[in-house]
Amino acid sequence: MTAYLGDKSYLALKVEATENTPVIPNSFCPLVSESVKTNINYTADRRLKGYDFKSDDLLRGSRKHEGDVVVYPDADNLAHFLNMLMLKGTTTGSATGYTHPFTIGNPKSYTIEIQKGPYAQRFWGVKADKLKFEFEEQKLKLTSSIKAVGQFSVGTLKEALGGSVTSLKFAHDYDDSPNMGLVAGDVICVELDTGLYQDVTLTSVNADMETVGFGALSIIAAAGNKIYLKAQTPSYASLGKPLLQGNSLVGIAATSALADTAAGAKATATPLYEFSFVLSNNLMDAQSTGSQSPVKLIPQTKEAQLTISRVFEETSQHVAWLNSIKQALTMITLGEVITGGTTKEQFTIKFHKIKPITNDEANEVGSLIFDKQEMEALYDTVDAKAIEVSIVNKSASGVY
Amino acid sequence: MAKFKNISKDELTVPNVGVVKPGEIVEAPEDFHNINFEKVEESKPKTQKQS
Repeated sequence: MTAYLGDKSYLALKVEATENTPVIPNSFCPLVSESVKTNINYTADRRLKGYDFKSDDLLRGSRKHEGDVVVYPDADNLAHFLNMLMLKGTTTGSATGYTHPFTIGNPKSYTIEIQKGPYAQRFWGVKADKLKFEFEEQKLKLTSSIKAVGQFSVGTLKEALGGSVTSLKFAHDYDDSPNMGLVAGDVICVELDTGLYQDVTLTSVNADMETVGFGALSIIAAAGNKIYLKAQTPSYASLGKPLLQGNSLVGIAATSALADTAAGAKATATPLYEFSFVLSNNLMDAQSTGSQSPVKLIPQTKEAQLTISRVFEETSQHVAWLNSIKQALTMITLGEVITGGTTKEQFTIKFHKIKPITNDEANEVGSLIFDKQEMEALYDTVDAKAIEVSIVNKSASGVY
Repeated sequence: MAKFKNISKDELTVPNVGVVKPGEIVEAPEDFHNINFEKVEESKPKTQKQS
């Protein structure tokens, strides 16, 4: 048997033109790790059947498709993850630097694929429930907690195939719409009776929800033979470098405009020894009629929290905590110079109003005193917004 | 081995293949599969009619 190394896996992603309608993902992003899975929520069948043992079978429950994707994002891939969480505005600029603004609002849905050995597990209708940004050994690390409305990975043949065929049907063991998730142009691998697998390029995914069509092939395969979605060979389009802590400046001031100014230069920026923040969409993935999986993912209350650690130098943060004083924070992270010009990639996030929930100034032997704060991001009634994000990168509007 | 054409607008880096410019045709194993590439079918040599 062949063993497969996780290092060869990939994450592929593409925004869906129509929400919750799968597409073939064509942008590849290197993974640090992932734990996205389908939970079928099996439980033992405890109906009274007269056996002297707990159960003779499992029953399905409501399905969830969710997990974490961890990456060190470059400016191009970071915009994909933000696009799963926030509302992208109008892109401006040119090939030497496109600016993509994101505001609080409903995100786009994505189709993603994660390779598992020979097969790819495809999730569609993917949105971000939560994005956690933190710095790990200089690199910006992004943990995206995502949810999806469906998955396709493997299936089985419903009916035997013998001789020249142009279509096949999927068995209904997993779902009554077993061809969902596939797209014309996909390559699936069908187990032949010889034990070998036949690549099949799909030309149609039929509306009967079980049949797929393809150009005539000679296939001899029994009902129940395995089928899987063939993993792609990854390709990387001018993969950018991860964004770095050292190229980030954080401005903290009384207003967002002043925080922007403070973040504009090292002399006025505040050095943070620890800085992380979590943006949440609180996606509703409740069960409803129409699907064994969530039929749609709807963002609920948006929120954000920040964790900050800075050297304690004077009393301002203690006062801010005790008296609940408004502050604003802007972080500007610069990346590489975009080819063909002088513009650098840039990730800017503005929290228009933050207040410390906790402010610890612990005394420890041999250590400087730090202001360690947990901050809540708040809606700023003056600026009429809570959070703004913009990304400058080399990817044109259509990519997102 | 088979031939595959980069049908994307991007210069792509592909493990075990290298850097492939838009429109460039490269050789890769038969089981190569990437949505940014299209397999190039070898055209059969034309046979001439004998007079």
